[in-house]
Amino acid sequence: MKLLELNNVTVSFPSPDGTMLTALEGMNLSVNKGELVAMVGPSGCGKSTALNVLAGQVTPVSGQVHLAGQPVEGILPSVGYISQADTLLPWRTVLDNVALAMELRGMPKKERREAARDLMAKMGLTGFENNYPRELSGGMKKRAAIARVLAVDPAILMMDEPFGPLDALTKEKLQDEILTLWESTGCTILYVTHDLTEAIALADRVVLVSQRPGRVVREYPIDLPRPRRVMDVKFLPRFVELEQAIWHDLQTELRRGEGEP
Amino acid sequence: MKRTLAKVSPGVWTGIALVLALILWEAAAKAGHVDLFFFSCPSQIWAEFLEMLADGTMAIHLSVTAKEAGLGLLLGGVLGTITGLTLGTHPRLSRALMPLMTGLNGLPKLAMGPLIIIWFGLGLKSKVIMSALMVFFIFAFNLYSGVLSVERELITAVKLLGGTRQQVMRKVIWPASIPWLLTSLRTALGLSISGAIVGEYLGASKGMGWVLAASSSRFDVGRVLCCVAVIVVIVVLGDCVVRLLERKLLKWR
Ligand SMILES: Nc1ncnc2c1ncn2[C@@H]1O[C@H](COP(=O)(O)OP(=O)(O)OP(=O)(O)O)[C@@H](O)[C@H]1O
Ligand SMILES: [Mg+2]
Repeated sequence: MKLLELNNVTVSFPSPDGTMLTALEGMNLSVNKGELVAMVGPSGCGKSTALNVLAGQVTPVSGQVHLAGQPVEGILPSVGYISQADTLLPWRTVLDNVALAMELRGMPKKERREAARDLMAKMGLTGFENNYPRELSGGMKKRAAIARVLAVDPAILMMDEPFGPLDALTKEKLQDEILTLWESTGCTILYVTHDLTEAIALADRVVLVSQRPGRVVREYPIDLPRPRRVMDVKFLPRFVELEQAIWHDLQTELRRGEGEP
Repeated sequence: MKRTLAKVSPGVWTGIALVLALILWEAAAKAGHVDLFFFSCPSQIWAEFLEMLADGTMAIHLSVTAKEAGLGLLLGGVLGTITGLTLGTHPRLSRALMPLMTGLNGLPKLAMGPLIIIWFGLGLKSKVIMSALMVFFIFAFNLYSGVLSVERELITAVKLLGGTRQQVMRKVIWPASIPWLLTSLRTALGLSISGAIVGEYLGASKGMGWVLAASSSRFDVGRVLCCVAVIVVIVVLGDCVVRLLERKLLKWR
């Protein structure tokens, strides 16, 4: 069942020199329920913009956007969005940050704190309930951010290069946690990344986006066995094959960008 | 030795310097190098203080000034905060009103004193307004900057979690503005008292400003300095309270 659908979506922004900058042009993308899709593409090609359209934050110039069959108009509470930036509220303890979404929905304090405690335990954050975000490591902040969106049981998780700035080990640990989370809950994930290895290791399908204006160049079904652990799959011959194929196309796309005047 | 000296807090050094200066002043006065009529001396000022305390003048006038300054701080602070938050969250309104605000802030507020006395009379009202006027712009401009400096990403994140406009205001913009509010409060504390005192100076029958005016016209330097010292001590104590508040409210930083 199609959960998310971008249909011939075009997005443009006014640029400083007065002209319009086309970020996405005729983009088509669909994500099935329960699927884990990774989106890769050159920097500035419009990946974040695509997520923002799906989250109802950016209105396309033309095209249709659907979530669970409903047209997307404005921000949807059923989307769990994890941005690249660190967006925990610095003046709240970790527990109150994780409880935030429930608080916004008017859940009583005792209940939401209890639920937040459970979520924190699930994300391996027990013991940090009363710390402030500045006292957490980068990886722990990301865990807290994930716990925060999980609180409202989102229909889809959208992650925009969530582990970009983290060190390799922490990153791999968190990637495995995403896999576990996805395998155990059957949630739907749309995952934007620069990191091809990460995309292939996690996803059912990798979507390659062209140079700006962005559209989908090609999709690669990832037929690696499940359940996966990043460490186990990334040395499989099939993995290397896929990586080479996508890498080749990505290079072509990058060259195409440079070749343009 | 050097290391232990470095550990002593700067407040202690200020205290030592102050005490030394007072001792020097007192000694010079006792030795006849200081004209007591013009400059008084610490022991005289202290005696003056005890006398004012004993006959109740201190309590009467200090409470009047405190009330005026307190109400002025409250009025100017609340109005300034509301103005700053509103302008910060309404870009179009602020584009229209900010030049006006900057212009009004440029007015010499002390020079407005006589006018305010004429408009609002010799009583409590004119002093409260004078004091509020002194602090209003501090709050308005600080809170305005505070709102503008809130990270966009935090606002977006809370909206994406389902936050309404009002919730964004209450749960992001307001808490992010608290540090700016406390900074304003520290700056405004002294100014609110100055406002009240200037008001009293210009026309009143009680209050520290009135005592200052009356005793300086009698060349009672001891009493003038006594009042000045009391005001300084009160401002410093108030500052300590706000600093404590800061430490408690901003422990997340
Ligand atoms: N709100 C906006 N206003 C104006 N221009 C924008 C806005 N958002 C994005 N853009 C422009 O649209 C283009 C696509 O941006 P986007 O952030 O979607 O790229 P991206 O693929 O996510 O890049 P990266 O991988 O570096 O994060 C860029 O040229 C960017 O400058
Ligand atoms: Mg991006």
